[in-house]
Amino acid sequence: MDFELTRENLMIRDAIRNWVSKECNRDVVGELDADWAFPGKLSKKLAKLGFSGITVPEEFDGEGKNILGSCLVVEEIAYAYPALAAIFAASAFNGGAVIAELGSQQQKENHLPGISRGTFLVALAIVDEDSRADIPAVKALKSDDDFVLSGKASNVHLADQSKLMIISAQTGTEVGETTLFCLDIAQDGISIEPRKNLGYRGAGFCDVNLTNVHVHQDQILGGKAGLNRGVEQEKQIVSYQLLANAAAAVGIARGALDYAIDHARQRVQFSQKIGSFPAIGHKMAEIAYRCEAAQFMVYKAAWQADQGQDFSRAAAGAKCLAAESAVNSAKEGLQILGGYGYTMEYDIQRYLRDSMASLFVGKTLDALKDQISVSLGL
Amino acid sequence: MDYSFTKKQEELREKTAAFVAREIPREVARKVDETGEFPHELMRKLADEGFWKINVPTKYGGDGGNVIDLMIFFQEISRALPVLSWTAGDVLLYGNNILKVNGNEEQREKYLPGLMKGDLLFCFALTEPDAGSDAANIAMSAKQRGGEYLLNGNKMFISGASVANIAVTNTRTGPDRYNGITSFLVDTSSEGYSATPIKKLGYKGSDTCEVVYKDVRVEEQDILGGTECLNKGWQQMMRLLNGERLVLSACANGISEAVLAETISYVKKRKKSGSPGIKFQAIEHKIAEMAAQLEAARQLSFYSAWLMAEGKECVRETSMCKVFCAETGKQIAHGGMEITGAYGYDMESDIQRFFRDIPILAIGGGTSQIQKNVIAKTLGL
Ligand SMILES: Cc1cc2nc3c(=O)[nH]c(=O)nc-3n(C[C@H](O)[C@H](O)[C@H](O)COP(=O)(O)OP(=O)(O)OC[C@H]3O[C@@H](n4cnc5c(N)ncnc54)[C@H](O)[C@@H]3O)c2cc1C
Repeated sequence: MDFELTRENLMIRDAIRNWVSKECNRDVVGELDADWAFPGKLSKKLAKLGFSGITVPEEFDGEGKNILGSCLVVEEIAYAYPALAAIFAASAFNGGAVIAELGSQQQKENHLPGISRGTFLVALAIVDEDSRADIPAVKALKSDDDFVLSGKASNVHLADQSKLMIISAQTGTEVGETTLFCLDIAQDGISIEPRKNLGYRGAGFCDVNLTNVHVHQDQILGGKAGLNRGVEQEKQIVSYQLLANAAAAVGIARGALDYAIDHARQRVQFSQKIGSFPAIGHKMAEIAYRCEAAQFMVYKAAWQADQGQDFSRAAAGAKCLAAESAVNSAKEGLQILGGYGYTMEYDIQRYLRDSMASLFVGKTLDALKDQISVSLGL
Repeated sequence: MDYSFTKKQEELREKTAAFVAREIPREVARKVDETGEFPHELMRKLADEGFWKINVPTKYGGDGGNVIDLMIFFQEISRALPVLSWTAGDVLLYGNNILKVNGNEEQREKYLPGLMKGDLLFCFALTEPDAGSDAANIAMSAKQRGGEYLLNGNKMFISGASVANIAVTNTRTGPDRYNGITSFLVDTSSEGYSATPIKKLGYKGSDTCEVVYKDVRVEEQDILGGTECLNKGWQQMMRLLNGERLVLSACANGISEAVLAETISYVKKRKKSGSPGIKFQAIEHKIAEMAAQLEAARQLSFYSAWLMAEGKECVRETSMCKVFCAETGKQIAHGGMEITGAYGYDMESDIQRFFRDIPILAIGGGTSQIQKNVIAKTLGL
């Protein structure tokens, strides 16, 4: 057992932490959030930092797969700006990790170098509202070597900013006969409608409509061999997605905690710092140890992924605990800030709004608990 | 034991519910939230329908209702548009009730008719930057000069402060922590009074402001309750606390009811349209818990209100009620958000609006922590 990060990961964490503290200060982030603006400039700057290839094998110009390292990056960004963390994850996890693992040779060659170089976001439309992948809302009709896709996918994170979308479509008549396709978002027949959400403003969820989108069979994830293998591939993809969500949730939880600690150390009422009241101090203690537990679960799941082990169960558990921890941290943080916490001038309300997405992005906690209970033999 | 409302109260509930159904469809509520503007139009309509008489004694031409009537009104309104119940508080609580409990005859006769007609709004200015939970720490100075006082200082988070005509302003008039506080009825058109609204997470449209008083002049007869109430501000405030806690509890319960109803209707739809093989028990049990909690909150509220209406000692109960209803409301709103997932997260859903509204109920009117301090004290700790 070794709880130290490797030298390489320590350097990654310090570098991203340093960058975040400089570039994602509260004024910048607060303004983007208030304007519902996509942080285009910031994500370009982030890309220049050199973490873009963190999940991409060296042969495709990447740094070699480092899932724990990418979790650290996501966590540190989410600490200050969850929306930007989601943007990074859309590239590193949905793009780099997924395509490196499941893509065909051609897909790897086409997309991975771009992902390594900079911002190349990949949107995922693979689970339905019930967090199930085996009954997609999009249908694919076969015509010769091609498919024609039609239907609607809801709540696709960052679809409006992505270049590629991995989408699940029904390719057979039986439940579970689904196939994942890699669509170029600019393709004819795809229309995207961004929604306005409680949090992740400017980097939010979209409805995606497909009308007779023509897809070549080479666009099946993994190539021709991927036909009807959607449910199986989805498991692997969702595990990455959950891990990214969980790392972001840990970042939110820590960010909200530190924000509240800062306030509790300064704010005086009844002639003492409010942090010295056990009602506040114990609350923070609880938040802190929950945060830490969630963080270790994420690191362990990421470590398993880097070892090439099955990390789906670990990722599911990490995601549940991290999501609960993020919401709890933000909610209690708001209470600790009192009236100030309720104003838009203070950041804790943004943490709360953003944290609530962790309850359903990727998969809902209930769906994950179903999954975990099955893995317990129930 | 009799848990039923009186006939008059039942009528008030129906009348309020009818008003809500007619005047506050979803789009109207959403618009107030979106723009964050004080709901003048709805306030006018409430005035015209006689709602501002609810708690004015019959002697002054009112309906003579008590705290239970207020709770009925606040709860029904909160089910659709919580912030409207607060702006109504600018008449019902900070106007009518403060005058009823702490005003003198002259002040009641001067203001109650205008309040009932909807021509006057009051606000209540206690909190300061350094005096939140520790309200007795207020520092706003009121210096006597001849027959008048000069007010100087800052107030924080004062709801209704930029639209109100009268700001009931609590000031420091003596060194004693509790016996050096005086409450003034300040005309907000006085020179030196300026209020700036603050942007908030929820309860948008409440016109909650930062207020600056710079040499604001007040006549000595504008001391709340008259000149004999100099330095009696704290005692006056204490008399308002039970009622305030109960009314805020009613707001929380109204929000909880709305969230629960929205969540149930969402789940019903999902059950019909959702993919086969999905098990709903976990969700159903969450909803069952939310419903049970809400029922407990309502019972505690009306029991505490009954104690108050009967003139019985009820500090412990109203404090329990405030913390329980607010925290329950937060849990229910959380449950609603979790169950409805992406649907609830959309700005077009009402659940996220209620989720943004609810947290303040555990902060304003004495935080949950402060309520627990009070409860512990009444338990001899
Ligand atoms: C939307 C809104 C509307 C408002 N409207 C009005 C209004 O109309 N008029 C008015 O006068 N005020 C109003 N307020 C102010 C409100 O009453 C205060 O915000 C509230 O009393 C808490 O004070 P504070 O914000 O300074 O928090 P603080 O007192 O700084 O509290 C911060 C945290 O410390 C905790 N804490 C403080 N003391 C203790 C203790 N002794 N033991 C344990 N924990 C403690 C609190 O529970 C809280 O969690 C409003 C506030 C808001 C946000």
